[in-house]
Formats: sequence, structure tokens, C-alpha cells
Amino acid sequence: MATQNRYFLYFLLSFFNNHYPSKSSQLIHVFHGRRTPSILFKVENEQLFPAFGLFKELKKEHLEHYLQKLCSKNLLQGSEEEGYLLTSLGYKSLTQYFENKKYPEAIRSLENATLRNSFYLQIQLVSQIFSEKRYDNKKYSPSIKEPSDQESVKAWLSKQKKPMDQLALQWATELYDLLLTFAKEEASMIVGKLTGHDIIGKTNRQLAESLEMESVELNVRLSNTFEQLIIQARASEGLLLNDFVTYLDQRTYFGLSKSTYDTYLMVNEGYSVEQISEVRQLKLNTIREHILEIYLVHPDFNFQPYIPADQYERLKMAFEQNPKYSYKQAKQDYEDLMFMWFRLVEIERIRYGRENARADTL
Amino acid sequence: MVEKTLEQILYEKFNYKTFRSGQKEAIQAALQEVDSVVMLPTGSGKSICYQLPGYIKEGLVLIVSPLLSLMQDQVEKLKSSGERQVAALNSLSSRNEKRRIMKNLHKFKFLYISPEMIQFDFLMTKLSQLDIALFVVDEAHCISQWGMDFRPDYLKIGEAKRKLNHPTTMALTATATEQVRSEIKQSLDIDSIETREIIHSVDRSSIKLKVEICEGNKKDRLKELVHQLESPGIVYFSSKKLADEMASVLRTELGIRAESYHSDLTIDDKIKVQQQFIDNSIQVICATSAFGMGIDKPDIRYVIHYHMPSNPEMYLQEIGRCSRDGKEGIAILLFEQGDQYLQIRLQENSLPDESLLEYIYKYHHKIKQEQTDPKVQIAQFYVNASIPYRVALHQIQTRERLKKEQLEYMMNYLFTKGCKRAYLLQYFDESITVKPERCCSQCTADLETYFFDDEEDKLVVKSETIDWRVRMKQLYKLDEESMN
Repeated sequence: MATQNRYFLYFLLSFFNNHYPSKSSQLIHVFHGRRTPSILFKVENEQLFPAFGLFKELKKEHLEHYLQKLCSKNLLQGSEEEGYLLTSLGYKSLTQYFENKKYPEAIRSLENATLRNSFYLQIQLVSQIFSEKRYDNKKYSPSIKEPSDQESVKAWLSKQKKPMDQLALQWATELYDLLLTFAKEEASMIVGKLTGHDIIGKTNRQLAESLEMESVELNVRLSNTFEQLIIQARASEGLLLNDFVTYLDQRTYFGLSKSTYDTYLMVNEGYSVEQISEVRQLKLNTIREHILEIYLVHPDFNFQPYIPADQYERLKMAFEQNPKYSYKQAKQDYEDLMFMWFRLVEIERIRYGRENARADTL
Repeated sequence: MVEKTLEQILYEKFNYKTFRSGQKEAIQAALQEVDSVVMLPTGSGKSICYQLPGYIKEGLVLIVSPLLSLMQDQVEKLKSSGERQVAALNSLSSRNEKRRIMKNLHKFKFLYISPEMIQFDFLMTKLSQLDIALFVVDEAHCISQWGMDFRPDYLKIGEAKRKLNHPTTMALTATATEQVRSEIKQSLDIDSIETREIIHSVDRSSIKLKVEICEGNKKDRLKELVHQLESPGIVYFSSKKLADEMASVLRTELGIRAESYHSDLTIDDKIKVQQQFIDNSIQVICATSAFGMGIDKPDIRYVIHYHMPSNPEMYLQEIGRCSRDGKEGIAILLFEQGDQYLQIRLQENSLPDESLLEYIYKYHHKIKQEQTDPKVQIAQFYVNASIPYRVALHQIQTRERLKKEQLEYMMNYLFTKGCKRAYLLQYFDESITVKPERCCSQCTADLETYFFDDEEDKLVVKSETIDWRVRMKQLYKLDEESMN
């Protein structure tokens, strides 16, 4: 394959498998981060997490062009109408390529999908504020100009009880210690982006050049590294960065869309689908889609109250007997079946199957 | 006494000891509650003209500004100089921010709003209840059909002014012909006789003008020029791809610290490039027209246009970023036969044609409001503003014709055998009063050689590898003691 865009082509190839055909018309929605239940399900089912919302500017015709390119190399087979599948040569090439290149493995769920962008921008602003504070400088131009990001950071800082100079030092040392657990390249990416006193952060192009990466590789790796930072920060209770992530989690609706989050709040208070629909004056189906979104984003969400116990048992058994059990079959087996019930159990079974497969490899 | 006070305030608030040409007249007009049209050249400190009266007069200074980035930049500058009562209300403002601003409208001294905001009756009603000290229309040429950046939203400004009970108005621009200025006055409903016109020449004598006709060697010429000229400089392109490509060529082949700048850059990287340019870590920016607004770097020594801009106003705006420190600099326009077709194509894609306009008038209720195609957006604006189809069509056709004439003017500028400066000024109904030394490439042979960098070697620079530990320690002044 041509050297230019090599990483991108293999990265793209990694979103295909030999079971579920994918079309550019579906994948483009994944890359654009579209939050419909069917796209979110596709992401979960085919483990497309690193792709979700990663290339928001990618145009469908360009994606089609790249897929054609992969087909011409016999790495993919199929067509736009039927969808594309990974060939055995594709699988082999993919495995070989990522033996020497890092694959973004930190992005394993949709949980941080709404948080990522705010975190990426606002951590840069917080870091700059603290850096300038360390030098007692008040006159500087913020590195992030979006009013909503500035407002958010300001609100977070005003919540802190310690004086700013203490916070600045705490932030610096905690971040330093946390980065010690990262690989050198990853730590360089994060620190390289930061602007502070007398230091201007690097652009993606400059970072890619200094780390000798293709620009797409840098973008993908950067997104993976910041995800890693979110995960580490979330796991480190007591750290200022942990508080920052918790704060942003709230502001970005815990990975959900705003409307789904409003439903989620009512779910937590024990409202039924019908009650939520009535209070929020939304269609029943919309609320059901919200329930699905909640479960797709938060695997630990208890969906049992939203499916009759007998239906749950019946569907679970059907999936155990036939993992490819389809909605069409299920509907034939039980006419009054609701799609939401089917999908909830289907997602649970997919996850269960994956867990088992992982356990078997141990 | 008054003059002394003005100068004191200028020093206290803006840290300048003297006014630049035109500023004081504009401020006095505002203080005397006389409407004004203020045309001052690029980089001459137009914002002081309305900000300073704000510190003297009671009430709100309301500024309509079409450029979001510029608006943000002004707010940031005011805040950093200690002004707290300032805000910007535009499409980027979050819901919370909008709420906060609406709640505190009466407390602000300066409020920047984007033109689309004046369509919200709720906001206009609230504003009409306040004491408006000054109503400012920044980049006022956008009001005019004849201006380079005509914005349909600006058509509503006259109406907004009426809703606000005709406050004292100041229309600001850097580049407007007499025709444009006349339309500004008309649209803003300001009395032609009573209005004070503070018109200063668009001419910036410190910027020397050169045109170079290339024949298949434009890329090579660009490389030679960037290599020879004293940096920092800006090279403008009409294509993002070419801006990237040439920045890469300049870096890899000549070892020049060059970066590209256009709309594909991430939001944070745009700021990084701007800041690196301002602090001289970058020598050359290869940019599209997206770069420059709000960049106040005094020592830019050259602006090269790899592609010709579509009109003289835009050309003056873009070269106006050069030589703000008053020292000499050079603006070079490179041209190759065929370049004009790129502009013609871009123009064809900027306005709706008759059939599209007719279609949208007929089926507007079926078309979603959030369209990305600017042609559709313009047509939708006319429909939404209830402007009759015939009037809309006439305005669009007039604008199309005008764009063609402006491009023709640029073509004539390229090939004129006379003084380039005189020809460019003629477009603005001006003539040269004092001919500057090294005026243009027609008046001075080998003009560019005066701007060559004497230092022979330009080091090959590669992005340095980052030692993250060292950088963290620098960022946060960390030493052994602070880390324990």
C-alpha cells in the first residue's frame, strides 16, 4: 500500500470483519458520531468504538474511494449495495501491520464519547491557567477561545476550595506522576499539546513530525492517549484531575445525549417508560430508544425493569440456543414482542459472549 | 480640558500616549452624539474609536460585528485590560452564557453581537429598554451590496437601529468606496448632511506594491522569494491543499519554519499556529483568507499572494497586515495566466442563480433551514426576510455583475503600465498625495531586493523531539523541592 495514508487505510480496514457486511453509508455515520440506536448498536456489535466520532469531517465520497482502494488490493470484498467484508488476506495484512504499529486500544466503549472533545480542549486550558499561575503571570492569551469551554473551566475552578497557587502545584505534580505511568511517546503527545508560560503547544502536524508519524496516525493515537488519561484519572480518586473528569462527566451528560440524559434522570427515580413519555411529552418510541442508548453507553445499567421477566427469560434462552437469533424469528415466536426487549437482550448476550470468549483465551 | 481628559483616558485604559490619525475625531463625534462613518486604514486602531467613548458616556456601547473570531478577540483584549463588563453574544455562546448575558444586560458597558442576533425580537426589546450610549457597526462595508463581504444579515441593521430608538451610530470600515459609504448611510438611516465622515486614505505608504507575472514558474518564484525576503511573512492561497503543500515544501526543501493555516485545522491548532507566529516561532504562514482577522502582529515584513484575491478591498485588507510597526514591508502579487479562472469558479459558486432562487422561493417550506450550501443560505435569507422575489433576484444579479467588475479591476491592476499604487487608490476614488519612496514595482526596478534578508544562512529546522519531563518542569516551574 502507498506510504501516504497507510495508517489510515489499515485503521479503516480494522473496522471490517468477515461476519457483518459494512457499507460506507453506515460507516460514515460511525465516523461522524451519529447517535441513532442502530448506529450505536453497530458500534457495540462490531466493536467500532475507536471510530465513533473520530473523523467528523470525512466525506462519504472519500470514504467510498478508500474502500474501493482496499477492494482493489483484495483486502476487502463486496460492494456498496451488499456491504463489504474483510478477506483472509485483509485479516493477515491487518494483523501484520498492527504488530509494528499501535492500535488505539484504550477506546473500548461509548462511555466517554460526549466527554472526549470537552476534555481534550479544557484540559489544555486548565493546564495553561495553572502554568501561568506558577509563574504569577496574569496577562496571557488563552489557548482555547471557545466561550463555552472557558465558561466551563471557570466554573470548575470556582468550585475548588484551595487557593490557586496550591491547586497549580497539585495539578502539576499529579499530572507529572500520572504521566510517568504512560509510555514515553504517549506522555510526549499529551505534554506536547500543552500551552503554558512562555511555551506554546505543538500542532498535530508538528507533533506528528517530531514523533515521526503520519498525520492520521497521530490523530488516532492522540485520541487514544487522551482516552487513556481520562480512564486513569477516573480511576485515581482524590486527584484534582479525577475531580475534573467527574465534573466534565456531569456537564457532558455521562456519555449520553442531553435528551437521553433527561430520561435517564427519570429512570433513576423509578419512572416507567409510559410515565416518562407523558411527563416529557415525547413519543413512547423515543423513550424506548433512550433506554437502549443508556444501555449501549452504560453496560452496567439495569434494564430488567423495562422488560417483562418472562420475555427476558424466553429471549435469553432463544439466544443461548441460537446466537444468531433474529428479530424476525423472535417476532414469529411471539407476536407482541417489542423491539426494545429484543435489542436489550441481544446486546446483553453479545457482551456475555465476548466476555466468555475473553475468559477462554486466558 | 476635554482633550487632556481624552488623552489621559487613552493612556489609562489603552496604554497609548497619543491618538492615531482619525481616532480623536471619531471619538469626539461619538461624544457629541453625532452619527459618523469612520474609515480608517487597516491596523490603525479602529476599536479605540468606540471603546474610549464608552468610558466617558453613560450607557451601553453595542457593537454589531460580523466576525466571530474578531469579536472574541476584542472581548479578550478588553478583559485583559481589566474591563469586566464586556460580553459577546453570538452563535458560539452557550445556553448558559446567553442566559447570563440576558440577565445582566443592564450591567454591561460593551456588548458585542453578531448580525444574526438582531433578528431576535426578545433581545431587541430588552436592548431597547436600555440606554444605548453608542451603536457601532463594525466592518460596515458588509451592509452594502457593493462591499466585498456583503452579508444579508446586515440588511436588518437599519431596522434594528430604529427599534433601538435611533441611538448615536458609528459605522466603521477600513476599505469602502464612496458608493459603499453612501449605501451604509442610507441603510443605517443616518442623515447624509448631519453625519460626520471621518475618512482617511486607505493608502499605507509603508507597504510597497509589487506585481510579478510568472510563466509556469510560480512555485519556484515563491520559494525564491520566501527564501530571500526578511521574515516574518504571510503567503495567501485560495486553496487549502496548496497552502499545505507549499508550507511542506518550504519546510523540507528550504528549512524554513512554515506552517499552513486554513479551516481544516482543529480549533486548538489554529490558536497554536497564531500564537507561534506572533512569538516568531513560525517565520511564514501559508494561509487561506481564514488567517489574519484579529492578528495584530506589528512586524510582518511581507505578504505574498500566490492566488489573486477577488477584489481590491480584499487585497487591501490582506496586505494591510504587513508593516503595522510603520517600517517598510512589501506586498507581492504573483500571477500566472489562468489564475483568474479560479476566482471566476469561486464566484460562480457563491451566489444562487435564478433557477435556484426561484425553486427556494417556491418550495421554501419543504427545505430544511440548516443548510450548509451558502447559495441556499443566501436564498433562504431573502425568503425569511420576506423580500419579494423580484427584488431578491435584482439584488443578486447586481451583486454578480459587481463581482465581475471587481475581478476585472484586479486584472487591470496586474497589467497596468502605470503606478500600481495610483491604480489601486483610484478604485477608492483616491489619488497619491505624496509619492512614497520605493512606491511600487512600476516605479522602482527590482523592488523586492530592498526587502531581502541580509543574513545568509537560514537554518534547517525540524520540530525538536519533546522530552516530556523537561517540558513539564518548564511549564510548571517544577524542581526537586516542589515535586516532593
